[in-house]
Amino acid sequence: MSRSRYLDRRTVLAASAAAAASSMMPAQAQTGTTRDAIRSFQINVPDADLAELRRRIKATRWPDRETVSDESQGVQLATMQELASYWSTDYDWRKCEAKLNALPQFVTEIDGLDIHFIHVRSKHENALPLIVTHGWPGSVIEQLKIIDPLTNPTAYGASASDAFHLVVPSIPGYGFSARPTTTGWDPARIARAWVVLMRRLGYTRFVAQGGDVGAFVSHAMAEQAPPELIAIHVNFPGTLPADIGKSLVSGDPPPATLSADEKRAYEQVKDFRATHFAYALMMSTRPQTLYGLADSPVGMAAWLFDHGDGWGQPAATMTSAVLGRTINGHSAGDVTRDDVLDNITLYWLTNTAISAARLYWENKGKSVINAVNLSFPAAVSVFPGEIYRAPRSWAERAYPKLIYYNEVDKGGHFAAWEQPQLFSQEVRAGFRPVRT
Amino acid sequence: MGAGVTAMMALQAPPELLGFHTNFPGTIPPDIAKALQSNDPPSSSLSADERRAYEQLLVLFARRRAYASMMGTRPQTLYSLTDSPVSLAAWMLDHGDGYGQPAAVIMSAVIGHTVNGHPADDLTRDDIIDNITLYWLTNTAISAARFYWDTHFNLYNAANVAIPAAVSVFPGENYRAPRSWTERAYQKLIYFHEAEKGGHFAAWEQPQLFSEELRAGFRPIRKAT
Repeated sequence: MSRSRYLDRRTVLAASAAAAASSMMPAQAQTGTTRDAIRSFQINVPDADLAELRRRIKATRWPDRETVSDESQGVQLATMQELASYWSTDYDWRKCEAKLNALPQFVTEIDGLDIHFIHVRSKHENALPLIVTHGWPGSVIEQLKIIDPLTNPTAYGASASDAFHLVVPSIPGYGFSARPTTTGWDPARIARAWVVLMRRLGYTRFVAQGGDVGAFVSHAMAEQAPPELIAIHVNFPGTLPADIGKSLVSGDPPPATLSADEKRAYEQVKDFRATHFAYALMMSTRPQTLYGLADSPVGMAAWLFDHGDGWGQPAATMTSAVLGRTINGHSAGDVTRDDVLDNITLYWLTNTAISAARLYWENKGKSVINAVNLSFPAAVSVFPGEIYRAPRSWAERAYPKLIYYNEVDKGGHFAAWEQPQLFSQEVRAGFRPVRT
Repeated sequence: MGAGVTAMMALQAPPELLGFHTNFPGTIPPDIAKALQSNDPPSSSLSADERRAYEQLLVLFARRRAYASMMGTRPQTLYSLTDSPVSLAAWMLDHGDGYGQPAAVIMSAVIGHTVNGHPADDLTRDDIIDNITLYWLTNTAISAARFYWDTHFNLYNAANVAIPAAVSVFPGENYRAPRSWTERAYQKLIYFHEAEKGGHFAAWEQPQLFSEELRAGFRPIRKAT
């Protein structure tokens, strides 16, 4: 199903007019050739698609429950059935659709693919342009709650001097961006596309932010070092030193000289790679085999849901949001059950679960955890529930031009989603050193 | 996995068990297992057979075992295997062998012509779908996956088995176990033979050849009783 099905012509024209009137379009936007045109975008999923989704969920053929009393075999049957029950009845995609359509959304063709993005300009004209890249199993939906705090800081008790103009794209093969039909769309190519995007929007200086796969893309942008890029911020830094990574692979004990922080990080990475990493192995070697992600809503939902964080698998925040109670002492933060389903439903409606998986294949199984050795201004925020807590010592080695490092006290892998206020504070603080 | 069960029976060594036969022997010596784990290139001290096996194992563990990792760690997450017939079929078809992934023999049977030089021989498309349909109708895809989660035994490594063992090596198995490794892994190797044809699904692909191997493999035990 092509993304253009969701374009409602009437709404597009109305949105264009509204966008122009409210100065949401950047002053120097290029709209030259048809190819480079930046087209307004609105979502309008046919009722039939939503009805079909509900029908399929209700028709789910379930396996037996797990033979353990915890999550050690995977997402528990009771969790999936509870999610499915709500998803097929009271859950309402139209609320998410309205939220997205209330934002300035656009599509533009870059390097042969239509790229979907949200673009919100701050009322503060000297705001710093920022492009934020989501990860897997995420989407632009993860970033919705940071848009206003970052573009409108004074409404949150922060300073106008910390404002951003915000660009939130969908990675090719994710959400409403087009799905690549040929190989080659690795993080480096995505990074080049993001630079083209920012230039096309008329930005002559900008910064980049990302976590998970978004960190890979941000790192790639830094490695390419376009003149307009000033700095990057990551909430999932690549810091595992090569020699320690080697000892992990070979099963040898770690060096005896590790500090307490380093030892903790080592154990976290070891644990993650031993039992919480199979989804990534599957996607990076056999993404096409995962037909269930396109054919079974519950199958797809479970696969996306089972991403772990530093506190467990599935990430305790997600289970907490779905079940409506604290899990292992971890609350959902700002994530709601509807948020979780909005993201999953987006994958379903756009049929992007496998195209999204292919990014892992394109990336050849590389791990974002490994040290980057990136000599480019970089800001790092460490959230306590991330897959591993990157020690300052390792971050300083991996990012020789570390302009900011901070460990906060709340939030996990889906930092922007779980803790949008704290996350926004970190992004403001991280980029403060590079504002002129 | 049948080899794993058989190997465990052999290690438990109940008095009634006279011996066993395997077409999937666990033979990797401990030092080789460690080198493989570190992704080291093959040591120059390996013989030609050992080197070939080593290289097969490198590829196998790097690219072809994700399904096993998934089933071994998160079997319950695989809800699509019981909800989507096509998903189940693809997951099962994607088991590889020494010649590729999916196993070329299986694809030859499904598609109806030889794939990568490996004809289906005795295997038919109906055979393949019979097997997949059995998993579907009995709703056993996830219970089967749970077996991987429950299994802590490494099928590939030498287990130092003491009771009489007969080993048949089929050329298309995931890795071709060298005689040198096999002799070290089984204290009482009563039979070792490299068959001329057949892959991972040996009994299915080559029933006659497989039966000959079993007869020959157990003949020494019959003679002894």
